[in-house]
Amino acid sequence: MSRIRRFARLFDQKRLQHEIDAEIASHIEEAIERGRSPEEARKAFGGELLQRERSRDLKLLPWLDSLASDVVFGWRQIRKHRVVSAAAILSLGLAMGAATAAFQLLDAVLLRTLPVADPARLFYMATTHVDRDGRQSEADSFDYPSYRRYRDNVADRADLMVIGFISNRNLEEGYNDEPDKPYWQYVSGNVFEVFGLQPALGRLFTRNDDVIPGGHPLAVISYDYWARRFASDPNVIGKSVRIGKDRLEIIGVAPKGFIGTEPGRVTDVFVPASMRVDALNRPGWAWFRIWVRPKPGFSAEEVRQPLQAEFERQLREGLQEFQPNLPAEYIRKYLSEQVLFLPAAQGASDAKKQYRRPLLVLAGLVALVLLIACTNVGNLLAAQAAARAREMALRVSIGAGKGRLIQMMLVESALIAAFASAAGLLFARWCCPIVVAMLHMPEDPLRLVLDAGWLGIGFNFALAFAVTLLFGIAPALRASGVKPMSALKGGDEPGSRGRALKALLAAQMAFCVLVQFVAGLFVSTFDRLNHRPLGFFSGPSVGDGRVVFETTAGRHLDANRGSDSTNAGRGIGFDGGLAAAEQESLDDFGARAGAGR
Amino acid sequence: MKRVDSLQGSLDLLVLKVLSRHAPMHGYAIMSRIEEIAGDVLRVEEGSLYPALHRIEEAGLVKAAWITKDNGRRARVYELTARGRKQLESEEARWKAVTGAVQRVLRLA
Repeated sequence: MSRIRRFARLFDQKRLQHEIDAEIASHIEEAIERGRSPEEARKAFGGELLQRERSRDLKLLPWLDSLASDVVFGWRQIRKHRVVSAAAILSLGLAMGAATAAFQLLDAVLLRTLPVADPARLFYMATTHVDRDGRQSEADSFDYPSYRRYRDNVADRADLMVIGFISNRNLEEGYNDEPDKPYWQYVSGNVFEVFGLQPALGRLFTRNDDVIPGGHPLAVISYDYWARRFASDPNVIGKSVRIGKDRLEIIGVAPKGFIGTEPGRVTDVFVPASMRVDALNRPGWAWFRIWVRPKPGFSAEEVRQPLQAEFERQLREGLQEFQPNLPAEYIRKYLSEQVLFLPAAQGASDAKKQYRRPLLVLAGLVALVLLIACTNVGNLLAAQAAARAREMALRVSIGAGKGRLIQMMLVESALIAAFASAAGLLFARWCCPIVVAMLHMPEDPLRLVLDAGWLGIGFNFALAFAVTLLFGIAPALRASGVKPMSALKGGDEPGSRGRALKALLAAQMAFCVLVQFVAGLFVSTFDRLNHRPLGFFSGPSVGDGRVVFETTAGRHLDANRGSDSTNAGRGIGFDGGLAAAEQESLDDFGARAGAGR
Repeated sequence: MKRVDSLQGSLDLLVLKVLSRHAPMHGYAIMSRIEEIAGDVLRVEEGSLYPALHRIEEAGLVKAAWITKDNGRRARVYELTARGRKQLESEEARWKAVTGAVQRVLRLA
C-alpha cells in the first residue's frame, strides 16, 4: 500500500516539497518561540536542502524518481538536437519497420498455427515417390478411391479428412448477379467437426452432409467473404450460388479468423467433397490432401501403420500395371516408398514450401540492415556524447555514479528506439502488403492475413529493447567513462575516442558492403530467371490430335503410374496447384506457337 | 507494507515511547520531551529527527496530521497507531535484553 502511495507521489512532487518545507518551517518557528535564536535554530538543522532531500527520498521511490527525471531530460535532449534525432529515428524506424514486416510475413506463411482445436495432433499425409529416373520426391495429393480405402482402414482410430486444393472458379450466378471469382475448396463433411469450429451464422457441414455423391448441394462461406461480398447480410442463409451445373445453397458462415488450411491462399467457399461427382471414382485423379487427426488414445504412429500397410498393398497392385523389365533397383525403391505424417498445425500449402527458404533469407537480410541502422545511430549518439563531455564531468563531480550516467544515456536511447518503433510499425503496415503484392503471380495471388497478434506485439517490444541495448550501450559507456578533471579543463582525451569511432565506422561499412553484395546477387539472379529458356520445343509436335509437352521443370510429372502422353497432358493441366511459372510459359508458348506456325 | 524489523538506532524507539505516553505531539515537542527527561546525557540531533519521523510514518507506526495551534500557526502532529504500539513493545523488550546482556558482560567478564 505504501509503495503505491509512494509511486503516486511521483506525480505530485510540488505538494510533497511544500509539506516538508512547511513542517521544517514550523519547527523553526517553535524553536524561536521557545527562545532560541533564529540562526542557531536553522544551523542546528544542518542545511535545509539536505533535510528536504532526505525526507523526500523516504517518501518517494528514489529509483523511479530518477527514471522519471531521466525521461523528461532525455525528451528535452531529443528536442534540442532535432536534426540528429530525426535522422536517427527515421533510419532506425525504416530498419525496424522492415524487420517487423519480415516477421509478419514469416508469421503469416510459416509460423502461425491454425485457429482450430488441438493443432498439435493434426497431420497431413504424404508419400515418398520415386520416379523413373530414381529421383525422390514427396507427393501429398490423393485420389478419392484411395481416400475411401484409407479412411475405412483406420476408421476406429483416426479421422481422415479431405482437404481439397483451393481453386479459383467463376461464380456464374451469385448475389446480385455481379461477376465474381471466389476461391473454392472441397472438404469432407467431418472437417468442421474435427477442427472444433462454431459457425458465425447458420450451421457448418457435418458428416451427414458428405454421404451421397452429388446429393448435398450446400456451401459454407468464410467470414471474410461474407463481409466482403455479401456485406454481412444476415439473410444470406438459403441464398444459392451456382457453379458449373451445380446450384449450391449457402447454409452457414464459418467463424471469424478461419481462412482455410493453406497459408498463402484464402478459402471463400467450402463445398462438400462428395459434390465433385466426376472425381469420386477415378483412381489417379488426385485433387486433395488427406489430413489426419488421431482419435484420443492413439498415437500418430499407431494410425500410420495400417495406412502404410494399405499403401504397400496398393503399390504391389500398381506394380502389375507397369511395363515389364524395369530395373530391379527401381522396383525395389518403388516398393519401399513410405507414408509420411507431416505436421499440419501451421497448415499445408505449396506456398509454404516455396517461400520457406526465400523468407528465411529475407529475414537474414533484414537483420543485417537492422544492424547497419543500429551502428549508424550508435555512431551518431557517440559523437553527441563526446560533445557533452563537460556536462558529464559536472555530473560526476557533484556525485553522480557511473550507473546513474549510464541509466541516463540508456533512457535517451530507449526514447529514440520507442519513437523509431512507432514509425517502424507504420512503415511495416504500409509496405508489407506491397511486398506480398510483388511476390504473387498474376493468376494466383498470394493471399495472406498479415496480423501477427500478440506475437507481433511481443516481437516489437523485444526488438525495441534489443535495439536500444545495441546502439545505446556504446555511447553510454563512453559518456560515463569521462574523467572530470580533463573534461572540465576543456581538453579531450586523445587516442581512445578515435579508435572506438573508427571501429564503429568500419563495422558499418562492412555490413553495408555485405548487404549490397547479397542484394545485387539476388537481383541479377531474379533477372536471369525471368529470361531463362524453359526447354520448350519451338513448335508443337502434333501426334494424333494430342499435343505432347515436355518441360525441363515438369519432367517428374511424366512418371504417373501407367502414364501415357494423355495423362502427361492432363497432368500439366491448368489446376491452380501448378506453379504458375509453368503456366505463364505455356501461355507464352501458345502465343509463340500460334505466331511461328 | 514493509515491516520494520529493527528500529534504526534508538531514536525511533524513544520517539515511539514518548508518543505512547502523550497526546499527539509535533516534532519539536517530542524532541524537547526526550531531552527534558534524559537531562544532559542525550541530545536529539535535529538533523535526524525529521527523517526518523518520516521513516516511521512511512512504515505505518505513526500517523500524522496538520493542526492549527492556539496562536494560529500550523503544525504537523504525530500519533501512535496500533501497529506502532505493537512494534514499540517488541522493540522495548529487545532493548532491555540487549542492555541487560551488556551489563552482565561488564559485570561478570
